Amino acid sequence: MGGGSRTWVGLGLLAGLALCPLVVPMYWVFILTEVLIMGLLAMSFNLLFGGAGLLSFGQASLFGVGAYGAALVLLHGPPSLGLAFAAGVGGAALVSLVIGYLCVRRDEIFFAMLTLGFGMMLFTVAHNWREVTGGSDGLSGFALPTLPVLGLSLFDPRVMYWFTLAVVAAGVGVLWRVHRSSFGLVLRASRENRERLAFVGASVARYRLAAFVVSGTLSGAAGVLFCLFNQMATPDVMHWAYSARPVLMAVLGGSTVFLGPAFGAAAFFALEQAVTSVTDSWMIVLGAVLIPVVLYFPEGILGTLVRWVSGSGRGDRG
Amino acid sequence: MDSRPLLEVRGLSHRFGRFRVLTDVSVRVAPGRLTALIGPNGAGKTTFYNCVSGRYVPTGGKVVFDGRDITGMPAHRVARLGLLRSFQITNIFPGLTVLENVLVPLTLRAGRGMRFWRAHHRDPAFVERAEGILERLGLAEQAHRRAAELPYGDKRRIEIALVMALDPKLVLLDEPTAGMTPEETDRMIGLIRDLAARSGITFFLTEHDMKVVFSVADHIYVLHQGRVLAQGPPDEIRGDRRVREAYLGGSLDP
Repeated sequence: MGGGSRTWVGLGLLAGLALCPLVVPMYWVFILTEVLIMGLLAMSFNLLFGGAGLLSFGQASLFGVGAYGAALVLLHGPPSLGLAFAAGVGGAALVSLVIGYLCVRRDEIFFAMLTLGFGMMLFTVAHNWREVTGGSDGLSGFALPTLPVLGLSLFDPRVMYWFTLAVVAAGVGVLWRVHRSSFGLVLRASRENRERLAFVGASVARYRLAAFVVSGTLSGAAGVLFCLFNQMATPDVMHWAYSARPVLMAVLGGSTVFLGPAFGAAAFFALEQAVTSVTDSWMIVLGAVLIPVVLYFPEGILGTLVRWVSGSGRGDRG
Repeated sequence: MDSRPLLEVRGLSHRFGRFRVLTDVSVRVAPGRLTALIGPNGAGKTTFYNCVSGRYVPTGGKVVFDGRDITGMPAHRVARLGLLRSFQITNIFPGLTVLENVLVPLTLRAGRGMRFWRAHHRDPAFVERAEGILERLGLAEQAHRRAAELPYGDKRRIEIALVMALDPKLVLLDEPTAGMTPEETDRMIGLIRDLAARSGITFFLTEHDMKVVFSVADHIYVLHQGRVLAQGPPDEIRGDRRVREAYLGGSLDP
């Protein structure tokens, strides 16, 4: 795809998503809002996974920092959307800077285990520090802020959806610019051969840390949205089991194509909706879908579709 | 050697645990001359490179490059000073295109690696320079193919292209013709000769293929069991009795 057609695909997708609440039933507006939020989480995760070749197993904890940051402001501070975002996103940026600094010098399973370890520490803080975080009940019972200028209430599911769409689109736009930037190129080189990259003059740890912070910050933004959407922040979203979600979504949709993880998030929820209406044990079906994808379509669903359409070899495409 | 050496290694020693790999190795590389380090397999050539280029911190001795002490300096900082190395095994960015492989070091060299918002590697000036380098190495036609798809000899030349993109002062070539067919070897020898003569870059190479060494080198060091056994111009080395013995005779004839 050329640069021009990519722009049209992006705008077309955005327009289509913006029109959704006008045509689909309200129940699906809720589902789509969650798809968008998880899509942003999965795509920010994939900056590390697909971009740098680093498997983070603690992404949900940064998502959770975003959610708790926003919840604490809305519970104790003024009902300001700007402040909620500042606290959630800023908190996630700061925490990912610290965790990232301690993790980026390790590779593969060691990196994954370190992120998992830090993620579980943050989960434990959220779960046990009852006075501040509300313990296992989490934080709830705060008023939702209204949108500045427009004065619309986020209680309206459609307004919540459109607001979510705007934030997610901005986040994905940032990821796209970063993916295409000079930094993105060097990051991909670090995924391909980190040692060679050092021998052409790059400090690999610095590039990884920068990617970790960008990724964590955007995961935090997704967490703020999740808090607004559910009107609560609970510790279960920081558990390591929740960190498996962005991993599954990226693998399902395809980590080598830009929108793959978001597509994976949509497929994940569509599958969940379809299966839970029939049986409670929907994870069995998820596993049954995931296994052939990993074995026979390692580029994921969207990755495989893009390859069929473009008919060329593998590579990093939009 | 009269002029100040570009690289001066003094009394370099390295050990892995109790095992001594290098003992008191001293080497001087004069600017503009093609110096070679030869020795049988296991003589310590690659360890020597790893100590000089920042992969290992040597357990003893000093490495001075272009007047600066670089002993124990990490690889990426050594590289930024202009001392680059190629590898014995193919060491490139396999999933990137050939052009992107060269754009990575060009981007880093220009200090643009940390630009999150702009794609400097798409600037025409960048692409033109990258294409110029590929042209010189005979890789122009493969520019948009994934590096992993190319034949072995081409990959080895991408390896050299990565190094050339950084405007090096000194290039360490670790067995540049290892595993090549005779045709690929001849092509690589021609390339090294051409670059050494025209680019102003000083080359220092290790080899165990004697044909390659005697056809390109101005000055040769012989490493044997971790020590410098002999050094001198090719003719002297060829006639050296100790060197012949180290190689069990015969194999020194090109």
